[in-house]
Amino acid sequence: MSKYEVIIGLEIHVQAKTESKVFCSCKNSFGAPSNSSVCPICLGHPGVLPVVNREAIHQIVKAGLMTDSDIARYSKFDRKSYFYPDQPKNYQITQFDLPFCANGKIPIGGKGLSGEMIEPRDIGMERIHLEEDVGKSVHYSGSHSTVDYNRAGVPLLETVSMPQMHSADEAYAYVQSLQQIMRFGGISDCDQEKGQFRCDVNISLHKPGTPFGTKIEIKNLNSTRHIWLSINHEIERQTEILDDLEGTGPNGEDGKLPDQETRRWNDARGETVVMRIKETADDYRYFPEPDLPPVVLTDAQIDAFKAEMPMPPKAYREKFVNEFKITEYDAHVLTLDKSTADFFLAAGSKVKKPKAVANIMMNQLNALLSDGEKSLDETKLEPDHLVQMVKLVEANKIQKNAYAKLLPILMEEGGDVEKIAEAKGMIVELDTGALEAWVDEAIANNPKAVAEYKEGKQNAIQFLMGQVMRASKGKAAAPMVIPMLKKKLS
Amino acid sequence: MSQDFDVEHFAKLARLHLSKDEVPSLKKEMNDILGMVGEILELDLDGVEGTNFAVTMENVIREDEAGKSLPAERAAATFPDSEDNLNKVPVILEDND
Repeated sequence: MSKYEVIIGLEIHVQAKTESKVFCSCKNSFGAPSNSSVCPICLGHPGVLPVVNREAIHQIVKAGLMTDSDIARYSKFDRKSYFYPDQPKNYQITQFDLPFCANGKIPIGGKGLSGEMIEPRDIGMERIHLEEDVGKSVHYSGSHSTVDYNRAGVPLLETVSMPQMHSADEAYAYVQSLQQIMRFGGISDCDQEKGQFRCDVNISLHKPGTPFGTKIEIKNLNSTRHIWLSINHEIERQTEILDDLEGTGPNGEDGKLPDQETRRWNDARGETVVMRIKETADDYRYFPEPDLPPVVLTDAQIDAFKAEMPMPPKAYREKFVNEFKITEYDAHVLTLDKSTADFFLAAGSKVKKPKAVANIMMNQLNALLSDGEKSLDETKLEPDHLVQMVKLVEANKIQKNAYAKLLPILMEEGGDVEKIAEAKGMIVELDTGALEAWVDEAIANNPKAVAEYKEGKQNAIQFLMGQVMRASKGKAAAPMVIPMLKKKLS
Repeated sequence: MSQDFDVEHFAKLARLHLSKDEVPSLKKEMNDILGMVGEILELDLDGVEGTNFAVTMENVIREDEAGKSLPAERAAATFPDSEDNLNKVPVILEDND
């Protein structure tokens, strides 16, 4: 246990799914030819008039509702001045003091990237505000940079967490949970390779009981793995500095990190590096955007949004744990993506013991999907297939060992489970005569195992059982074979 | 407004290049303007809500429909310098990672 407490807050930018940009009618698209989706409004030419997109407002309210945030009845836009070529107007339209959403909660749980379990709890989210994305810069070392403004004006939801995470694993779980909510809500695909989900980390270390330490910001993290790695690196780096500063304050107290820095992750070097040192607080000179009138939402509108709000991941998890009687961890894994959660919801609702369906999904199905590098949607497997499989096992018509053989066929071709099981000879043999023949064969062919069993080696019976299953090509009804073997050997 | 207007600071924020000669006259002019604005402070404004927007207007909202954009060549023609229709600018960062 380190002697320092780690305080982490995350600012995450999420691109919202819409047809058009947030303040003009250019397409919100990725991968179009350079600067082919721009107009005088998103290029910030003089005299133009931005108008806010209804769907962008819908998406941010949905994000607020799905994170238990307070939704503002009165919201407005502000200008944030800054001078970077990725922002053609020299100011960004954003929200300063009256954002659409405040006081949300992001539930964390499951396993961290280290493999350790995370204690389930809610992390506070201070706000979500709506703003315009900036252009995409590409830098050519030492010579010049280029900017593509297709991205400028894409609706961006900026989410700001409370500084309530204490490890890289917790930050990872927060990121994962926020992505899930955005995907379940159809708000964003959060495709990190397309820049739809970008994260800034704020991190400081301090001894418990002393004031917070100097805040270091790590900017522009566009991969979950980089977020996790950079936090762990920063904890190590700051710990070393603080250890050296122990007792060096003017009155013998511990010294602080000297500089409030902005750093970035250098993946090749596996470390964070300085981007810039903050000498003065940024002076963004926020002021109300004079071209965009305030947005007023009524209770009735918010209720209507609520009524059509997709089920958040947390609601799936609660249903799975409370009604389907599976563990919190299994519920966590089965709600990592929406298609899996919907699949389990559909299949689990139709069987007596949803746990049986969960087990197939968590074990055999998961293994097959990861081997084939496929998602559930890319196969022909339907929830009803699992329902039929579980029902056939309950009726003693097939055995659980048939799952691993049935699944690849169903994933590839679909079809009727019982017919496939019949065609492939998986229907359990219950006929005593047939079973006795296999048992006798196993006993006759394996005198060594028989002798061991008679000497008291209980394990030998498992070996004989295996021989029976092999002779029957897996069809022998296992629960009937063991008593039969025992009887014949006694 | 007892404090003098800091011309150099605001010129820097606004990326204005001022010659030394311009500073004293600008300082005087800005101080005069601030003095005028400062008169508002003498009013009794207890109980008056702040204004967020100058016009009584709200919910000016457009439907989410994509329309036409500029041809990329025309957009690029508005940039001070361009390269394959991209805005070409001086170095911002040394590398991309």
